Amino acid sequence: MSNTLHCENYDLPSGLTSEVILGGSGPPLVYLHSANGVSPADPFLQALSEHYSIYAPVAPGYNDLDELHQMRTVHDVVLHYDDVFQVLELDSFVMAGQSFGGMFAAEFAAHYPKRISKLALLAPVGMWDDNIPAVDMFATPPLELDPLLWADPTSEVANAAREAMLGGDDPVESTISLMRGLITVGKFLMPIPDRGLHRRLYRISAPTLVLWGEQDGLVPVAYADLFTRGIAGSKKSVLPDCGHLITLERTEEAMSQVMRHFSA
Amino acid sequence: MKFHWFHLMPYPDLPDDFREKNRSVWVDVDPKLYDPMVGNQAYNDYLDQLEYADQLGYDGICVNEHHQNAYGLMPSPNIMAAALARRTSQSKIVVMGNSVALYNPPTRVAEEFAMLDCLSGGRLIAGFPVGTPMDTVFSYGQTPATLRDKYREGVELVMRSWQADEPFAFNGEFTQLRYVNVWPRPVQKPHPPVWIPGGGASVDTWRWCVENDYLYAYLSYFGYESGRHSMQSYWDVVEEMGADMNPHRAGFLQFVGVADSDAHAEELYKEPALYFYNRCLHWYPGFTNVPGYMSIESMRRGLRSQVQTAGAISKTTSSETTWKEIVDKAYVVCGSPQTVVDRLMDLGDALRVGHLMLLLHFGNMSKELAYENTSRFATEVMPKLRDKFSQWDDPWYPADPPAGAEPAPLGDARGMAV
Repeated sequence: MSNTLHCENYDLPSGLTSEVILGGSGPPLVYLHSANGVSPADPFLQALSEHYSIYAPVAPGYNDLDELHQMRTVHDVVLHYDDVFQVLELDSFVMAGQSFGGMFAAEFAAHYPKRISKLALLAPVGMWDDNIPAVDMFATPPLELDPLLWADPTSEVANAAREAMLGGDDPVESTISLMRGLITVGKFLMPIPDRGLHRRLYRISAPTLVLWGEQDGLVPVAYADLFTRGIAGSKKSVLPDCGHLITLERTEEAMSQVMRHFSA
Repeated sequence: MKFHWFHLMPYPDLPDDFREKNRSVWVDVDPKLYDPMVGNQAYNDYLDQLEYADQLGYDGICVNEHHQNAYGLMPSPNIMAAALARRTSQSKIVVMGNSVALYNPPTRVAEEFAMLDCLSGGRLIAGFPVGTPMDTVFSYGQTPATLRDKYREGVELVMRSWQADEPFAFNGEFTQLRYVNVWPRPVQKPHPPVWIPGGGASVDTWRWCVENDYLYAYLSYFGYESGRHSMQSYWDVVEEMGADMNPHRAGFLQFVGVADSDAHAEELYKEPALYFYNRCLHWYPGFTNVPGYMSIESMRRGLRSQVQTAGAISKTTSSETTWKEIVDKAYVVCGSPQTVVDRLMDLGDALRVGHLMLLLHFGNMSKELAYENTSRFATEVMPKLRDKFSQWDDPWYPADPPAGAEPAPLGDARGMAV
C-alpha cells in the first residue's frame, strides 16, 4: 500500500493554525483521532484513502496547549472544527471518529446534523453511567493502563504501538507529545467524561454505526447501548478479539465495517 | 533564621497492616478507618501542641490544607487558624495555605484570611499553594489543563481585592464577579506576607514568586540532602532574574527530633518516623503524577535531567523505608542537640533558607514526646541558630502590629483581663 497521506497546515480565521492529515481520492471523509493522535502512517486512514479523500484534523491542543485557552467548552471545539472544514471547503461529508475523536464526531454531528451524511463512532467516549463506571484513565499509571487497551496486549501490533508512542528519535519529546495529548483529552473528560453529549445525541440525523471492541477494558462495551439508544436509527456492531484501540488491533475489520456503512 | 512549628495533623491510628490492605492513604483511603472519637482527641491535642509552640517563642505556627487524606486532617486550615488566633499571642499564624483554585469564588480566601488577620491582630502569613494532584484533581475534581491558570487568576483576584480601595468588577476566565468588595480588610498593609508552598519542581512557579516578591517554600518530606538540587535551581532562577539573594525569600520543611544522644534518638523517634514514611506516605502512584499538573517546561526539564521529582515518593510507596535510610538521608534530622544544630547549620548553608518549617510532631508521635521535642528544640537548638542570616532584613515576615492592634487572648469570656 503506497503512502498517499501527508500533513498540511491551514491558517484559520480565528487566528489558530490547524494541522490536517489529508490525501487519497474519492468523496470526502473526515476522521477525528483518538487520544493517541494521528499521523499520515495511520494504517486505518491509509486503507480508507483508496476510496475516500481523507481529512483528519489534529485536535486543538495537541500541537500547542495554548490553543486550549480558546477551547473552554466542547462548543468551542466544535466551532473550531467548523472553521477547519470551511477553510477546507468541506460542506457535507461522511465522518468517523475514534474514542476521544468519536466523542467530538458525535458532538459535531449533533451541532450540524445536516452536514453529516453518514457517521461512524468507534468506541467513543463522552458518556457516563454510574452503573458501569469506566476506568479512570487519568489515575491509572501507563503500565497498568496499557493492558486495558488491547484484547491481546502481547500482540505484535500492541508492542509496536507501545514502542512508537514512547520511542522515536527523541523519547523525551515523544513523551511530551503524548502528554500534550492527554492534557487536552483531560480537559474534556475529567473528572467525569460527560459534557452533556447525552442531551444532544437526539439531534444526530445521520445514519450512525457504533462500533465497539468486545474486550474494551477502558470503556466497557455496554456503553455502545447508551449511544444507540440516544441516536435514532443507529446500529451497533461489536468486534470480537478487539480492545479499545479498534483501528489498530482490528484494522481490516474496522475498515470494512466502516466502508460498508458509508457506502450502503 | 526563623523557626515555624508546622503541624500536618496526621490521623494517629492507622492499623499496622495499612500498607498491605490499602492502596493509598489519600483520595480513596478507606473511610471505615476513621474513628471520630480519635479525631476529637487528635484535633485538641494538636491544637495544644501548636499553642505550646507559641508559648516557647517559635516565630510561626503553621497549618495547611489537604483533602481526603489520612495524614493531613485539615480540609480547612482556616478553622484551625481561627482557633489558634484566639489562644495564642506571639507566634505568627502561617496558613500554608489555601489552595485558591478550590474556592468558589476565590474571594472567599480573601475574606477568611482578612478575618484571621483581624482576629490575630495582624499575625497572618497568607500561603497560596496550587495544591497537590491528590487534593485538587482527584479529590476536588479540578482539570489539570486549567488548574494553574485558575490558581493564578484566583491569587490575582485575592491580591487585588485586598488592595483596591473601591469595589471593582472582575471578568476572569474562571471567575466573574460584578462587585468585588472584601469585608473585613486585613490589618497588614498593603497585604499580609504571601508565601507560596511548592514541591520543588516548577520553574514557572519560581519565576512567578520572584516577579511578585512572594516567598517560596519547598515542602519536601525527604530532608535537606535531597532538597539541594531543587533549591539550587530555585536560587539560579532568583539570580538569573536579578533579584537579591536574601535567604528569607525561601523556606524549607524539615523533620527534626532532639534527643540526649544520637542513639537515644532512635529509641524516641524511630516508631513515629516509620509510621509517617510507611503509612502516611503510602500513595497510589496513579494519583501523584497526572498529565498536565506539571507544566510542559517543568516536565521536559525533569525528563531531560533525569531528576525524578517524585522519585523519592514512588520509592517510599513501592518499598518500605527503613530507619537507617531516614537518618542517613536526613529525612529526619535527629540526635543530640549539638548534632541537630550542626546539621541545621549545614542545611542553612546548603539551601540558603531563612525560614525553616519544622515538623517536630510527626506520624503517631505521642503528645508527651511532641512536647519534649518542641521544648528541647526551643531551648537547646534554636538559640544557637538564631543569628544565622540576621544581616538580611525580612520583608516576608509580618511587621510589628500597628499600635493598638491587640493579639488575642484579650481576656476571659466576660472581657476581663486574665
